[in-house]
Amino acid sequence: MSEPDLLVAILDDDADLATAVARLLVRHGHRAQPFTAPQDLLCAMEAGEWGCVVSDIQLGETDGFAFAEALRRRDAHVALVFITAWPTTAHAVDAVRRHGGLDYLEKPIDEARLLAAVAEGLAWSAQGRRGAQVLAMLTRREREVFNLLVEGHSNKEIADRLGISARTVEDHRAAIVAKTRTNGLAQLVALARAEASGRHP
Amino acid sequence: MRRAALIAALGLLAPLPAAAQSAPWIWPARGVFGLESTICAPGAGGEPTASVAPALCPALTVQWQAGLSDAFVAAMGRHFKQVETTPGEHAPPAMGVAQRLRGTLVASLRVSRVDLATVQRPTGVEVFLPVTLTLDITGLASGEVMFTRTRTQIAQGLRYGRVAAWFAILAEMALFLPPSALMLTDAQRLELHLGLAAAVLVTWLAGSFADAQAAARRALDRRNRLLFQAERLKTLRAMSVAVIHEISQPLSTLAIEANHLRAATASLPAEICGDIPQSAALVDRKARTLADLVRRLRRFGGREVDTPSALPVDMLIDMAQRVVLPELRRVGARLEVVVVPPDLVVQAQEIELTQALVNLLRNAISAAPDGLVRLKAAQAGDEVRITLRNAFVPEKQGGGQGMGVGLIIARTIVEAHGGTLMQEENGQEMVFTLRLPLAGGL
Repeated sequence: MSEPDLLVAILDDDADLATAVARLLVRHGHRAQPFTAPQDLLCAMEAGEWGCVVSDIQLGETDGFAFAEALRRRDAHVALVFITAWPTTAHAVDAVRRHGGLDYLEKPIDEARLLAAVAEGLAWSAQGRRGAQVLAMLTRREREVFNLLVEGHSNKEIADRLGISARTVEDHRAAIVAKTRTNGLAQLVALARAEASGRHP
Repeated sequence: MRRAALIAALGLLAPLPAAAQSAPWIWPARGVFGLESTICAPGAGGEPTASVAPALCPALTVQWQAGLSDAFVAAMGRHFKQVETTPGEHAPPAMGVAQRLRGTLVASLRVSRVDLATVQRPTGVEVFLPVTLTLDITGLASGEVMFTRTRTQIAQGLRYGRVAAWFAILAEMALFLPPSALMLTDAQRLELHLGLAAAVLVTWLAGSFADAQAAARRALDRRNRLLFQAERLKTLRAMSVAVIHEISQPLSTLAIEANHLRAATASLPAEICGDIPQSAALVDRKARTLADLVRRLRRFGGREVDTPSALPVDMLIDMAQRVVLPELRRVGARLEVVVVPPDLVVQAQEIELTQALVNLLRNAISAAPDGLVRLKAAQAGDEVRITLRNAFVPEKQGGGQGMGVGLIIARTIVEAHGGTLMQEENGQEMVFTLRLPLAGGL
């Protein structure tokens, strides 16, 4: 299930391959665009919501991993899928652990696996963005109350911690629930987790 | 680790001029060592260098020692062609001292024990004479002891009543003293016994060193062969990795588009589009085959070469079994392994050899119509024979179990290990026989 408003970028210095993969993703209902130069993609990121980037590791002179870091600094909620013609175990572990890649595919690409990775990436990205958007609506005080709530503290404990009355805490809590449109503490916790995972993939 | 030192010594001798043989020269040192300080003749240091029964002191005469030394030199001469009477004499005079000395090993004989024990029997007194000798082989240039072996020989004799009638039976040798020996005094007889025992011992020691040398040389040859093959394999892989990388780029696009064309044309009406769907399907199939091939070749080429080490065959088979387990489950096949003797060991690059066996197993699993593959390993002389058999139906189209890149890779790996891979089709069964030299005796 793809997120209709999030874009997928394909970055590979082989133009034919980038185009072929983009068209493949379009056939499966995604909005995808091919890129051959890392700079072009970084510029394009300003104008548009990118959910997932499928990138080669060797991009001419640029190192795909280094580029991925730069990308992440611009937008923390972009999912990364790496593809390469030089798969080694060390790189695969690197890709997933350090650079926050969701998957690491070797060429020729396994289509089913690519589609699964992109779908997962888009879902993850959407969730992270939602979380961030929602939490951005909270005031500073509400944010403080929210953080303590999802850690499992009671209203009384929160009141003591923040030096405010229990009544004030309840007011903040009501505001949080209204703004986030959640239904219960469990959903608040899920929201907190989604937002956190966006910051620390 | 002495073996390693010996191998190193053999290796060091390689730079000798072409006329010289690869085996070292041996100088057997005359004289018997170890008797410098005993209960018979305490040395200045105080610490005894050999343990001697006091009753035997008279027997350890100068003549006895000389006889033992002669027997030692003679034994070494019988076992080794390259024996020197003075160290370094084989080398041309122009050769430097250090190099000359490097080509020689010193063989010396040491006594550590000469003992006497008696047991009272109804028929007489049974006498036991254990003699312990040690052979030391030392590098003349380095002074390092490269080989040492100690053994005890027991001479046995029986003394009947008052008349000194001795019958000597040397343990393990069934040697009898000549009848004239009956005329000897006790002391003389003891000396003779000891001499015989020591002679037997010395021959055994010399032989054991000769055996050790031969084994070390074989190990060195085998290691050199393996290293050479490993180098070849490394070059082959490096080349294939580069080629694979280049090919996989355009192949990636090809595979995606071929799949798309196949899907898009699959339901086109034949009246209008003729055999376009079939063409597209064929192109897609071949593209998939290519993609699969590239992935498998890449797995072969991409790894770091590990160094050869001793690998038990049962461990090899166990690992291969584990790797193919998912395939077995998926296809519903069964692998029957006859219990492998645990003492079979080969010298191998573990990952490579496992890969070879896995390739063969995979081929067999996909080819067997009844899903049964049988695996057996047994020793045959100085090699191990691993047989893989499965039921087999000749394929209608080409590319059956007897062909394919997996088999080529398996064969390359096996041959790089100094072995052979043979394929035999008898009637309805396909049999693969993998032969590898055993690593025993290292």
